[in-house]
Amino acid sequence: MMRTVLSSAFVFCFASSLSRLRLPGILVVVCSLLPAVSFAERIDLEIYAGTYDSVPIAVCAFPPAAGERLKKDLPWQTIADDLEFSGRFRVLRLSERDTTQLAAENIGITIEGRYELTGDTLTMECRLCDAFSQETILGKRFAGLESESRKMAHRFANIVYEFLFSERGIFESSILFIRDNGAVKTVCCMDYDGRNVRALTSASTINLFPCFADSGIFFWVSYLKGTPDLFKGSLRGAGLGEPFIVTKHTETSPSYSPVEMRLAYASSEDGNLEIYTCDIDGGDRKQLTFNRAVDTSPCWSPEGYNIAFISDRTGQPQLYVMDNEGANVRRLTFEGSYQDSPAWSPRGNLIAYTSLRNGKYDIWVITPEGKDARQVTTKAGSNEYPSWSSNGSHIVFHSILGGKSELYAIRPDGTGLKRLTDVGNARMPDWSQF
Amino acid sequence: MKRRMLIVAGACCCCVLAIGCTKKTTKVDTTPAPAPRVSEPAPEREPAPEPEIDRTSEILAPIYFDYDKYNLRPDAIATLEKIAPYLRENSTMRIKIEGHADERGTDEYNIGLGENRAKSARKYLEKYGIASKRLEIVSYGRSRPVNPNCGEDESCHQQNRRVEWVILSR
Repeated sequence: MMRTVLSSAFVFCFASSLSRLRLPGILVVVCSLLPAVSFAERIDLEIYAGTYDSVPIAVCAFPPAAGERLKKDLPWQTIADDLEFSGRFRVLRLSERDTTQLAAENIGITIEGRYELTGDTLTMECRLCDAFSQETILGKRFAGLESESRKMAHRFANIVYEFLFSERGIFESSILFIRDNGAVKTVCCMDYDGRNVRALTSASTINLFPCFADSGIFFWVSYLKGTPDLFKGSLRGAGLGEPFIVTKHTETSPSYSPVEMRLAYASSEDGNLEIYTCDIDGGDRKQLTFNRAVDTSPCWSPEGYNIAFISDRTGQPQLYVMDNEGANVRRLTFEGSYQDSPAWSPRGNLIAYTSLRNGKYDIWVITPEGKDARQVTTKAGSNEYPSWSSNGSHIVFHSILGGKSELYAIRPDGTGLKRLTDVGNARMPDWSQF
Repeated sequence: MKRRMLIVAGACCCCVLAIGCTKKTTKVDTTPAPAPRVSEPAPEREPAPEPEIDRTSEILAPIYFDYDKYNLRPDAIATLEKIAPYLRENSTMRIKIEGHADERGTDEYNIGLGENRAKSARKYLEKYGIASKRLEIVSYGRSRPVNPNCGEDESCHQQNRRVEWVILSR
């Protein structure tokens, strides 16, 4: 299997593997002074990654240097899981490097590494390698607690993904959601892959509709003060959240725009649910809709110019878009009698929403111009409440397709359905920024 | 003087106790076969003793709605026609009107539907001259069904499409 040689690629890779500043002139001189390194069989990553829809990659188990063995949360498995989840890799998992298999599967790059575990301290070296020359293309060293092994693995998977595709990976992202225990509904957070579930609210009340803002800040709706009100909390703070907008009317359905740094929400202070926006401190409130219909479920477009929302101004809840001041209202959906919960893809090209067809709720997508409405979920169960990953690759939603309410991920083309949670009562997800 | 103050103090204590005991939301439903609703005590209080039978709670019965609708049906109006004069008589009573939807809608839109149902009930009572400041509104959407997991059972779903009444103060 011939690989083309590109000396510039070699210089780049050599520099990356040592994590030094790139000074091409000096490095070229350095390279030529080195003992002979094989220039043949050198992979050109750009061509390799671009050739395949699913880039073939092998992930080999990391041997322990000295000390104890990891028993669970094996980092190379987490890395393999992440790369597989993205849908852009064909991952071969190997217990050790095996050139026959690599050749048979046409694999040009591998993930290899090693670790040392002493007490609860873990140090780990992860490398992206050329499959045949075993040259390190890029390598990182991690040190921390054993309990942070998943975090390290997600970090390295993101580094590899970004290196190969020049875009950020989602493997360190989180998902907010509600655990529904009937009279008590709790805001929870978890890693995007369903691990590390933890409760963020403790009040014995109904909490709904959590929504990420920036820097670990999040909003949600709580009945703590008697009616649905907006509360604000922080993933980083020690506190349990504080009232944000509290009135005797309904405040509901928060949605945050990081570009505008404003929150959109629905409030009935004007007599019935209308869409409002306010700044991150709850000030500068603007009312955007003025009618007797229920206007609710606002969702910002990624660049902050527009807001998708649901209105029953024609008698039943349909999907609309308006600009961020409430003008240029246009209706998007004309099929199906009931839509809710729009979510605008961060790529800008699609809006996901819940749609009722033939007595069943499913996730659909439509363009912001109201064209090409397409069903995404097709399996059993009520499938509702979509939220996008921040690179637009996946949609998370809640479903009872397995009998109990859990969160699932799916790609907008309907492939890659994967259950994320195993808690029995997960609903209303919101996917974080990277 | 002292004795009179003691009597007054004693009477006040009895009143407070009486109000505390009757500040319950236990209702006896007279409409066809809904599950009796047990009141939930406020979190910081001790569980209350058995509530005294309060005939007035028969009047504050839930009213029910059709699927995806918030207009008042004849059976709802019949119940409201008993509630309105009752509230006129007890002219200082304040109530909370809770609007609910069944589980077949979606979470966000159903907050609006529940609110519309509560508003329908409030509008009717206001037409009878009940001041709106005595009538507070809250929507629970589909978050607090009387019967969860109804599946295909229509009469089960019907019990969830309701407005319920909570006495805030007498």
